[in-house]
Amino acid sequence: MHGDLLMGIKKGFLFSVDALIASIIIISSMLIFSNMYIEESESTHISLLSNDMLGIMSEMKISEINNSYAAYLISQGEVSNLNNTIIEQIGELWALNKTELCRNLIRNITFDLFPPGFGYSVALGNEEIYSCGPAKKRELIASRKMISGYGKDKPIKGTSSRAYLKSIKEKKNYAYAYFGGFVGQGSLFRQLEYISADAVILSSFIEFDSGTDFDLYINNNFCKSFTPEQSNMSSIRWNISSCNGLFTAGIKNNISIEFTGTLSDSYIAGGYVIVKYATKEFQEEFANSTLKYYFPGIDGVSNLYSSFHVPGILSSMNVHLHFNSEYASYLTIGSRTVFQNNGSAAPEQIVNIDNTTLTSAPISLDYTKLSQKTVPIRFASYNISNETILVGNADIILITDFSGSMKKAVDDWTQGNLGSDCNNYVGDPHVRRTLAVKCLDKELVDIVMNYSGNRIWPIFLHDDEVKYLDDPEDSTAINNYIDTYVNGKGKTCIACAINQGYDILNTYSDASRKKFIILMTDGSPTHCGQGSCTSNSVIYGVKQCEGLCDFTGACDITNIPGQCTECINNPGATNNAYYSAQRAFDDLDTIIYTIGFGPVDDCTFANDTLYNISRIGNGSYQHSKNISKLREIYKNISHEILSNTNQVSQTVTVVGNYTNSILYPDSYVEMFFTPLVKEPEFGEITYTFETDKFSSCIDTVNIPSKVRILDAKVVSYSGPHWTMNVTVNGQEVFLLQNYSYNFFKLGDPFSIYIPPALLQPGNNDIGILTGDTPINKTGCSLNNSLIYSAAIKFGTAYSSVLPKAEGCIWTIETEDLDFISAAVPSSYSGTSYCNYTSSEISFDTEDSIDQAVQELLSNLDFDDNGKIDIDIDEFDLAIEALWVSQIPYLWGPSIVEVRVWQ
Amino acid sequence: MAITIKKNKKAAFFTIISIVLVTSLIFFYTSSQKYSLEEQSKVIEIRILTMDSFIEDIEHDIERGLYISSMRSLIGMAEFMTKNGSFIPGFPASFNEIMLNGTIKGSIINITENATFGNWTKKIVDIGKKLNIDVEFSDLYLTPFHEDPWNVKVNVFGRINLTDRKEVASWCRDLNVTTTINIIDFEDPIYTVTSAGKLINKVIKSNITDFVSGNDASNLITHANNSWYIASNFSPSFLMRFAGNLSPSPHGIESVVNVDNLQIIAPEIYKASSSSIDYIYLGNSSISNCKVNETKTNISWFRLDNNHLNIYEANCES
Repeated sequence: MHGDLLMGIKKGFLFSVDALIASIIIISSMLIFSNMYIEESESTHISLLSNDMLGIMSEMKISEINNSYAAYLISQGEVSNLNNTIIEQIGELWALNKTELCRNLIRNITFDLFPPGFGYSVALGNEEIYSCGPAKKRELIASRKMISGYGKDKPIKGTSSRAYLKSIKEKKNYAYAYFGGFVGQGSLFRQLEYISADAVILSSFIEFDSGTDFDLYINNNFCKSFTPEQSNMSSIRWNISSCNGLFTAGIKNNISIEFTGTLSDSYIAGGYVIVKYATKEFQEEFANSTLKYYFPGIDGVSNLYSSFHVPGILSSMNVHLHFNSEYASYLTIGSRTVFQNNGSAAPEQIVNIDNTTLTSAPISLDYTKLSQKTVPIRFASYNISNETILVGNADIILITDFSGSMKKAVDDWTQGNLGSDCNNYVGDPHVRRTLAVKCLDKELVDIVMNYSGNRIWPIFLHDDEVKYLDDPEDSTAINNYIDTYVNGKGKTCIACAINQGYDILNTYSDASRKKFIILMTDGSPTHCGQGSCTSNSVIYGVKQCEGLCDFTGACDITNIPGQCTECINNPGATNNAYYSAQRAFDDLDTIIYTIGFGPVDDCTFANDTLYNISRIGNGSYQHSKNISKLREIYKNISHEILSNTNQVSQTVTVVGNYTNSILYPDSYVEMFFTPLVKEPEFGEITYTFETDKFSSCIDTVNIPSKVRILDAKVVSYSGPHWTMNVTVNGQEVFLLQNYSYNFFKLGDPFSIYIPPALLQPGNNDIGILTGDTPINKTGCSLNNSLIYSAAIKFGTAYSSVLPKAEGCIWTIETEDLDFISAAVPSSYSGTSYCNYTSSEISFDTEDSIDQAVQELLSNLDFDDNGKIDIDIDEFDLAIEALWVSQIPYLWGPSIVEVRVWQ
Repeated sequence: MAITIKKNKKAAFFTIISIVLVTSLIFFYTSSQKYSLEEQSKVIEIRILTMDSFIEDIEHDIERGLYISSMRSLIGMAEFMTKNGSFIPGFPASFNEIMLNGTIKGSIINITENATFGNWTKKIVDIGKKLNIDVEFSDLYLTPFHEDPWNVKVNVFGRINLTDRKEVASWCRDLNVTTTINIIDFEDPIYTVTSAGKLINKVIKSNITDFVSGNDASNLITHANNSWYIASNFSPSFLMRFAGNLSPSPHGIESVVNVDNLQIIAPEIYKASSSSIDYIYLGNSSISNCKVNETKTNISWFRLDNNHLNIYEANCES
């Protein structure tokens, strides 16, 4: 019983526990499922709320909603675009930092959209703009959307502007007529460069170095009479503005000069006419593939030394020459004679020379050498007897090797023939060298000494001695002295002979005279200068010989090739000769010509030695074993010395009756070329600049960095001399001797072309030298200058996008110290003032128009000194601006977030 | 026997308890498994929703990006002309280049700096990375065209691929979005290029519809003096002008060149006897024309060809 009771109690307990566990399980399960169901339901609802709200705001336009506050914003002009969606409008107000308006707009639109118990907020770029509802956030759902174009505190839309010169009333420009080098003699005629059709002539000048008084005519109307000062290589500038009315716009005006002095002085040795005019045209004529150089008209003695320039790679050329003369006439281009005749019975002549003729033999112009160069041009048509030849000034050391080997024949190493004399030696190819060289020496003396002022000292290497005659001005004495030597004897000490020549020139010559050494030998030097082999040279300070200068040197080798080998192995004598030559050149500016007499080719070392000596002495080396050729060599050297020293005036002296020769100004040289400079481009204005006169033969000019040079030339007044050398920044742009050492046959450039690429922004050193020969330099004029034309940008590109485009009234300072006032844009009627002056550059940096105008003015201010450099008067400058507004920015995308919670 | 019954009852009880416990365990196990799968599917669903929302967002914002970059590109083309003095080479194909790269034939266009359509796509790609989504735009082709004379429409066509970095989902959608840009106040390319940058005219739509009323030609004079624009299917459209194409277009616009002004500013392109309509005067075609009778005293330079006499309600000077 008790057991049953106990059992019954235990069962009840177990069932109770069982029921309790079951209940717990059932209730827990119900709670879990119930909870899951409720949560799911709430999340979905909130998510829908936030998504719907964002959807509405991103789809509906501000103008579409029926909301009083939105209408208010529209009426207040706070809505820039009625097509903005609500979200864009919120973004716009946020970006513009109008947070309060933004907040109000959100509140007004959303306040009745959410059921009670829900909270929500709107955030933009992580910044909560508006929040509403209970603070407790049990469930929070956020929906997001991107909007591009908005950034906090950043402008929504901006403007971009560009400024340009709408018109230039009276841009100042210049037209030139150059009278190059030497233009004479008689009445002269030249055409001025084209003057724009709308031009108003402002002023005019002439700047001439003329030989005598003259009258100036413009378009055949008398302008003025002028009396120049007589001084070489200087010009006078006269103002001829009183004759402005004689110039005509839209044509090439004719300039005529009638000299009132003698025909001999009727010339212009450099100069130009310059007309300053006002034009509205932005660009002037520009030769971009063809160019015609027109000859000046000359009526009297046609005697022209001038030049033309090739502004590119020359491809073709032709010449049209129209002249009237009964005298011998010739035309040279560079060093080539492209036309000559001996006079004509029918005086009026038209000569056309085509490109084929110019490039074929015998003219054979090398266009590569003419490209991008100033090319001298010379036309002469007069009686040759009228040429004025002045005196010579050559001091010549004539070194003749009369050593033992000179007994050999000219054409080989066997003993040479005697028996002939100076009348017939050329007919004997096997003539002995001593005989031949004496004749050649005497012929050279005769040619050179034909001109008074020249002097010759003959020096002989003979019998181990250096012998000479000191009677340099008496050609008979010199020739007699030469005759005294009969046979070769002794060693070859070239250094000894050069050193003797050095001593003579150093003693008797001076800086005004041109010095030459003509060194003739038939082999390599075998011996050094006296005393310099065993001890330090008194001249050079070190030992000059290295084993060959003793008595048993190369001279002991009787075999010529063997002697050559000895010289190669022991080059002391050669080195000694080099040192001596170098000293003569360095100290005395002595030109050294060397002549290899006979079969010098057999010894390459001898050839090299003579060539090197000539290089050291800036002369030339020629050699031959042909007696006729040797004669030619001696003659060439004679004439080259004469052409370098005899002063032949550019002026033709006219006495007695003379029949005029006429060069007509329709004569021309036409060039076809590939330009290396681009013609004025879109948006560029051309302008001509002239520097101040140079203060020395090397002067510095400043080229602004904001210009693109189209054409540049220096003008050089050379008087009776030749402009021989022009350098830019140390680089040679013109060297007259590249055409010929004999300047007399060459033109004399007045304006020398400078390839624009050589002129760099900033300082440029320009050197000009005149001379009569390559070594006879005559300084330079102080009237020289650089004239160049350049292209300048007259507009700007579109500016950066800036918040506004309003403009202002600009005060602009010019280089003439004038102040220009200009409203930009022209329609601007506000009160903002901007400055572009040397004391202040100020403008609204947020205004795209101001920004563009400032950039334009900066372009016109080449030297960045706050003053515009183009020559424009008050009211002549019309700057206009063009702008595009409502340009959106691509800020962002920013994230708009709508958060909803319960 | 009693002991046997007791034992049987005990066994039944334990069996029932065991069944209940096992059932409970199975129930809880399956419940937790079910919950885990639901969690997982919930995450996937959220991920998909996020990506869907993102692509929807892109498709919404693309029009704005397209509008901004197109506006800048049209100004950029004007910038190219003012720099180079030439019409746009290869237009309209070159439009793609400026829209995507901010260059025309390799020449950088400043105004498009950081504002090209290419810049916009890059920004979207960057935002995608933050969401662990790889975004790729491909085969983008942008075309400008007209549907009316006064607006340029720009269409972008291409594909966009979105791939979740956990490889939960990916989208591949075609893009075909168009935006509209008003051409008012833009620079007319024909004026700028043909006058070497000297004569510049903005597109300003003329509100004059009645040019000549009886003997009153004041509207026509005002219209001509200001070089305002009207729509005309004899004339090239605004976009054609960028290419220097002066053929007629159904969406053409035209203005009257103020020849008086041109003669001062750009005398080198002055023509004494050409129709004053811009594409004729500034082009190379020669069309018979006459001085306009109605304006001969006020603007004697105004000449029209036969096609345009009717448009401007004008007659030839007799």
